[in-house]
Amino acid sequence: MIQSSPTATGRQPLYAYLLAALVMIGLSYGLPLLLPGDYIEAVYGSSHVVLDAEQEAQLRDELGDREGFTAYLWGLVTLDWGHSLALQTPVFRLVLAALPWTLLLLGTAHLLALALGFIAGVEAAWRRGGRLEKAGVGGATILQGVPEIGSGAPLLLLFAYHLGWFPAGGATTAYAELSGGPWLLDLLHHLALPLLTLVLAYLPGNFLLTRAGMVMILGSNYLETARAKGLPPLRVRYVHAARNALLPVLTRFGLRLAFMVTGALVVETIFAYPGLGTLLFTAIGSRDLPVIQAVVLLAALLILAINLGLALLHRRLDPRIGHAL
Amino acid sequence: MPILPRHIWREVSDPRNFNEPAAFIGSGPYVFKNFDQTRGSYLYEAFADYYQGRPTADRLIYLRTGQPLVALSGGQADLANIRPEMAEQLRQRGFEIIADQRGWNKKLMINHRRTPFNERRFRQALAYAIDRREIIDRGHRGFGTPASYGLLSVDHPMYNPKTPDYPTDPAKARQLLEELGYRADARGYYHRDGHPLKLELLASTITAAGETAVDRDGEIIRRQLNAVGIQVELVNLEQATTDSRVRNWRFELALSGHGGIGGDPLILVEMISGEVGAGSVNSARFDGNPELNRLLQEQMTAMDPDKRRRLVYRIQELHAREVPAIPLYYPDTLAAYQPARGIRWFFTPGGIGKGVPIPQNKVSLLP
Repeated sequence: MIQSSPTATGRQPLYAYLLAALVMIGLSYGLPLLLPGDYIEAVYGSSHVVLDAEQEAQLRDELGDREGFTAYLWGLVTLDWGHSLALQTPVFRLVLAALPWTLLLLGTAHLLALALGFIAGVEAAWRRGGRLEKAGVGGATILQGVPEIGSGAPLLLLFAYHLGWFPAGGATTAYAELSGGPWLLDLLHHLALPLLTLVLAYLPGNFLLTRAGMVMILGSNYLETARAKGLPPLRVRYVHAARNALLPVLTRFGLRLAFMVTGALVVETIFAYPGLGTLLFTAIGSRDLPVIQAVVLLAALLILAINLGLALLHRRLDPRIGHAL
Repeated sequence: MPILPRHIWREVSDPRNFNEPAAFIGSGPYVFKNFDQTRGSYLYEAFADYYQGRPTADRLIYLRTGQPLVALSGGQADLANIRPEMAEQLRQRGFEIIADQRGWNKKLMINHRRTPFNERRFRQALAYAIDRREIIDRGHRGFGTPASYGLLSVDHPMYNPKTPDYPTDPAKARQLLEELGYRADARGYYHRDGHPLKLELLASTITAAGETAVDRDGEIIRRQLNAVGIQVELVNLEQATTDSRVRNWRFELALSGHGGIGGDPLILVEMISGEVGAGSVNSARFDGNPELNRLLQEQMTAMDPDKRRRLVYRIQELHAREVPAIPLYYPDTLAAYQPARGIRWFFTPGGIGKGVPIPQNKVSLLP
């Protein structure tokens, strides 16, 4: 992908991305249509309200204002993404309301996991062979295999149920009418457990990748030279060595970040966190087609945008990629 | 027939997008204040001028949580539906546990329009083959009761205690299959006209009492039917997908469930008749018995309670004999609340409205 096609932002630049975006728009429109069942079936099929054939036809008539792909495309451009069938609200407004929560939770988790994983990886490689390094590698390898649901549930049980330190879910205390400092504390209080779950999921990979990269770099001649020049060890470690271990970790960061929406699904559901994952989850359950399409499209375009951003960033961080053109 | 206040609706030109606070019109002890679409939370405030007095709690807040146990014990929530296995822990922490009448049943839907399910004796064979006590014990730690084959809850005032039953009897199931022309092969699996008796069973994650859980019942039923010589392919699908297939008759057997069986016997029409129940995925939509069809209609207009009871009794007997679907069990429906808040919650007998099994009755909140 990125490593193998450094020309992506070179001469044949944006065409590939535009083409991919068009395909994604088509898929975001078409794929949810293939889901079996529709809104009326999903919502009224097992509700306490039993519709007769006439009422059902009437309801279908009222809700069925779909005008096909052209209208969908035009709607995308004009930011008119249709109305949620379940909430009778413009989809754009729903997505806009959910996005900040997902960005807050997932963005913070990725940044924390990147920073901590990177520093821990560099330090571990520097202390190669030590007891701490071995324990770190062992622990990270195990943690990496634990899915979010496997770490989220025990964390919830221990810290929320048994110790009672954190709330069971949500983003803030509902209708508490807090502001300023108390509001921020309340927010962080709710953020802690889902954030910890995600950091535990993302950190081990960053750590292992950095460490592996660093171990290779630490053996190279140019570092020998740097040391021989008498540079302080911290400078050798971070400015000379770690910079080169950063590339693959950044790539990983970007790719993981790109899967933000799907990554949010599990954790947001466990902790009833009000983000795009929860929005998508509820929308699929009730076959709220316009909402599914919008979230799927957003997720797909996010992946593209981040890929593009990464390609550009790579050229800055590693001049060889730019010169290779 | 909904009544719309003219002074509010006369100005509205786009009813679909009219969801301002003024659109929420009610007559109860609480006033709607807010619905947070992102968080799924609701806020209601006490209506001071309510004719039965100002309600005791100033605000009612509804929260979305996947973890009722943690939300209750952490003090985030004062009332929640819980799974039966949580009851003991919550009781130890000072919560009051309340149980509902049996008003929800898990059901095995049968596509009685297809062979071999269009044979009544085949459906009866299935009933004899299934051990409902085992499903409750192994799949639900014993928290439940086998359901009446008459569909109406055993707690219903019109429940007919003489409703025919199908005690688990694998020998009887085999006998019925053999009467229908099935022959067992060397491994004990049945065949007819050279075709193996192989059924498809749809199962899905199901939401019962506010909790979504993976369904283990399908696996247990698969083994039970296997034991009498019926091969079963178990297909686990997401619920809306299963529902869609059941609705469009693209299934053979499917696990499903519904409430309302403790409320008005209207539910019998909705869950049995093909005409009224057409829109419900839980309705058997069975019109194969003329007497049953007639009685279902007749009880709807019977004004004399004794006459209606007689009709409803007979309907239960006919349903049990025809087995258009197999009522499996009533899961224990429990809720827990924090008594320190001074509100005594209870389940309304027969459910709220047409039988909705929730423990929120406004009487709990009145002075």
